[in-house]
Amino acid sequence: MLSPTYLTYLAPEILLTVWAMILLLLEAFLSLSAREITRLALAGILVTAIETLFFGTDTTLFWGSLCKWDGAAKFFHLFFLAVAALAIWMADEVQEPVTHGGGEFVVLPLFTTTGLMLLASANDFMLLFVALELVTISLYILVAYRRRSLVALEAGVKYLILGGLSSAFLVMGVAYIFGITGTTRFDAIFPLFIYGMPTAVGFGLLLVLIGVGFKIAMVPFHIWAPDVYEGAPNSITAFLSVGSKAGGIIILLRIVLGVFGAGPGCDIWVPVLYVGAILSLLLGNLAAIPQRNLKRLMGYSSVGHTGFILVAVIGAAASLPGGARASIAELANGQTTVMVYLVTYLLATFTIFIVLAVLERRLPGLEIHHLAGLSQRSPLLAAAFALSLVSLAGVPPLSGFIAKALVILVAWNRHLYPLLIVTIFAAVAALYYYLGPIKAMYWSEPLDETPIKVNRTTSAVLIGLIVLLIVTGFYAQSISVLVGGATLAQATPDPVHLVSK
Amino acid sequence: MNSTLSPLLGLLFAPLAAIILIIFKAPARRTAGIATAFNLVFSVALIAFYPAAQGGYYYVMDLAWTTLPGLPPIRFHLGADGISLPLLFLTAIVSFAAIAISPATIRRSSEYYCYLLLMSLGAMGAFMSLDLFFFYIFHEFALIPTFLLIGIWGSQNRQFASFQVTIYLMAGSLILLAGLVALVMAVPAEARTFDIVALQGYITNHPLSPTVQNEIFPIVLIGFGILVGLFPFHSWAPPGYASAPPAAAMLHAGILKKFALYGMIRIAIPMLHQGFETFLPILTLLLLGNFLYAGFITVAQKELPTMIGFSSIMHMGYLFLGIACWNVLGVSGAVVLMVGHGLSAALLFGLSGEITQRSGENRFNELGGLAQRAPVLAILFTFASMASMGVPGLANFAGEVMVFFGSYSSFLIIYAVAAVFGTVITAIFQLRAIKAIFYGPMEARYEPHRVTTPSTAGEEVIELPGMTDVATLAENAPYVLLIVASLIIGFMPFLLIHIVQPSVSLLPFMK
Repeated sequence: MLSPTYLTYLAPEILLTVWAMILLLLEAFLSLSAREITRLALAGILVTAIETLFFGTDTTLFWGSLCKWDGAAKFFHLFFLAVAALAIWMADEVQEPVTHGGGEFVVLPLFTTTGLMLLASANDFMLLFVALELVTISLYILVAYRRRSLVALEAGVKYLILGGLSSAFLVMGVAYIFGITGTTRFDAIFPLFIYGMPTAVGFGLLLVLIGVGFKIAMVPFHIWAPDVYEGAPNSITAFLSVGSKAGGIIILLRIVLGVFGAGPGCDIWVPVLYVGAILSLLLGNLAAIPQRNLKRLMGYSSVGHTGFILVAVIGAAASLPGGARASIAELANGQTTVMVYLVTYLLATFTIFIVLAVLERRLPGLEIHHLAGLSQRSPLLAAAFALSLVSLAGVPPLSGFIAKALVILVAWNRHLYPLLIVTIFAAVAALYYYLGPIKAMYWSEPLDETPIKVNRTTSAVLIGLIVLLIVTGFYAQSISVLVGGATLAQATPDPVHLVSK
Repeated sequence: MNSTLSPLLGLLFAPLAAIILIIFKAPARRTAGIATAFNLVFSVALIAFYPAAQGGYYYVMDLAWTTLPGLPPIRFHLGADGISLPLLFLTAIVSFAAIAISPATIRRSSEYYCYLLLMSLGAMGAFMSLDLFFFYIFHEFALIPTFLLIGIWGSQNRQFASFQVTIYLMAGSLILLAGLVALVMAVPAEARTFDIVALQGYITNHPLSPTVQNEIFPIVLIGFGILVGLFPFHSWAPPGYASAPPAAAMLHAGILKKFALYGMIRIAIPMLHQGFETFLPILTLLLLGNFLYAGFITVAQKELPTMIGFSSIMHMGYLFLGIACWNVLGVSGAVVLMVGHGLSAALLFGLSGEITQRSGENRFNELGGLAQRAPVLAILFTFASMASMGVPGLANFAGEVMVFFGSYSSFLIIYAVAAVFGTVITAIFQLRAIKAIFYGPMEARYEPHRVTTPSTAGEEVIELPGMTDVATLAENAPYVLLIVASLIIGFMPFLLIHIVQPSVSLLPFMK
């Protein structure tokens, strides 16, 4: 007999998929315009988000234990819906319209979002893989959507090949793990490796980490990021930069904490992520310095932010090599930091890409020197851009500061001193390249003095995002509303919660 | 918990309201002037109504602010005592002067005044915060405005200077943040808080272990040291101040640098006293670097703005020395000297701006004899130099004497001698500057003269005024205000000391 929770928690995914299919049909048969499709898609996202808000944060296994609902799942569902809404709105309102297939360009992100939401609640490697493929395949199309542009094609090919490669690594790793354990369920694997772990499983975990490393653009698996960021349409770059990265992060959390969270697992993944974090912090932030193209700069900056997030992920480890086991409070501390970081990253990144999308239509190019004198041509765009950059740099009282402060707090608390030093160094280096565009916007005299007009909706959204950047920074309690209780369910399986088999 | 509104909010509200009004197209200079004038009057009133004799925090408000999972509670806790009130007054008077000396015709004036107000707002907030979180973020309000002020309105090497200042200060701030986080996390989980008063209370009863203190104190010291320009972390300041517009240099050198010293008095030394004592020999060695190394470099400067930049670094040595004594006399002296130095640094930076602006020259060997053309400016500059040298009758003297005696009565006698020697160095470079700028032969170009330039319609004759003086009342009033403040404190230091001393003697471990 089906328990009532069998599919309840799957409702957001079902709703969004069905709605996306209906929209495809509507577009085909009623020849709706891209703008009408966008409105309908946003309405669908809104309904899904409202529905998700009604779900609690109690841990529940559902859909034959393929999925698990918990605080983190709820948080990431809402996070991905927000990302999707902003990206879809931006594609229609701000950005240069795509020349063909306007409807599909709106609907495909809905499928991506469905995949991301499934990732957020996955409790099984098979489901995880299928959901990840749903995400990446729809993104392959979106990245190369402007197929007449050589840059877009280059981006698409690179993303396709490296994405395929990373999926292969992931599947290979899962195969190893399945080969030894005979199961793909997260909560079934966890208790097997509390006291020891065969080398083959460790190797499998390593392969899985490489696969996930590609998704979150962790050095040395970041090669695709700058090129893809540059070639993809702005809304998709923003989606990749925030949504796809957050997707990678939730998989990472589910796997490293939920599956291999116990001591022997930590001995494998902590050193790997440790090296990855240091390399990402250094390479991402240093390689961004010589960049002149703003989208490439954001690409490297995004690699650097992966590094900061990884510090927090390591801080959530149950046991660190050479260190004592952490208390539950400390675990939750690391996880909360990841969520807070992602929220602040979302606000700043979307503000930047909305501004870039406006500018792409008005400026001859998106190099730093094209920004010259923007503060006089459009004070709002310049202020929004500057504040988001400063927030990403972690300067108070903006939102990004809270995230950076929490990362430093976690690193200190878990005695990750080398990481702490690298983090501070990277944050200072980052300030240098974030100041570059600010300098261009505020000091340099404009070559072309015509004001850049921004339409009313865009202004309203930008002002809203700026207000959120400041409010979440100055009044950090406001983030706590979002991330309160947004932690992964405790990894130890509890029979009470196994509501369905 | 005291949720009543504190009058201190007024000091924050005035600049904030002015910024909002300016964004909505209010006349920038006048709005900023009114807001800072209000703050000046208001800060004097706050000092007048402060029950000085008993010391301790007054005008307190305390609201629960943030309880984020994993983050110790943050409280919006404001309050002022005899240490912070003089600094609030200093902030108010220097902000007012900085805005009053700014030219009305400056380009992009609304942005300019907003950034100045933001710096002032940040300093105000930092000095009245009794919560580490707000203490820290209010100070950081100034970071980006400083970058923009130097970058947009700066002179000389503004590009390099603005990046250097911003990145150096960001590095210092982040190191400080790590230190403060370490301090908060060093106490057991149930006592963790960002609230300075609560944290201090806990630490007084349960001192941290010496090992922990010895770990954390150097981090905090390096963080504060960078922000204040403690030798060898001072190299950002002189080129930065030399390139900054005078008003920004006044605010930064006059007020914002005091944030780090205030932090040493309020946080680092009381809470990490054992660590402080361990590192005292190193700290004193470094401040000797400020006196002597920076002092001799100052003497060697060939340009007025860099000379003043280095001299402000040099004077940080006295302030650090006063704090390092950690006795009532020395620390009270340091607070008085902070006010005195704030006034004199603001004067010097403002006047140096006037001189370079009006003569178009900042190298000593090109200047000379300007007293003939600008007697008022010469008088004002001489006053400022005297204040900076610590001539009796001006505020710096009162502070310096207290610091000397304070260090003499503690074990830092050798440093007291070095500090007295430092005043001699100050006298050397300040007197040389006065002579080089205002006396001796004057070059002809400082006289009103005509220049003929070839133009399309034959030759064009342009009248050039040469060197001009700060003639009108509006031009010299801000400087006179600062000098009068310095004179009042100089002649009647007890006005300030009787506010400062009781609060200083309440500090933990005070000798």
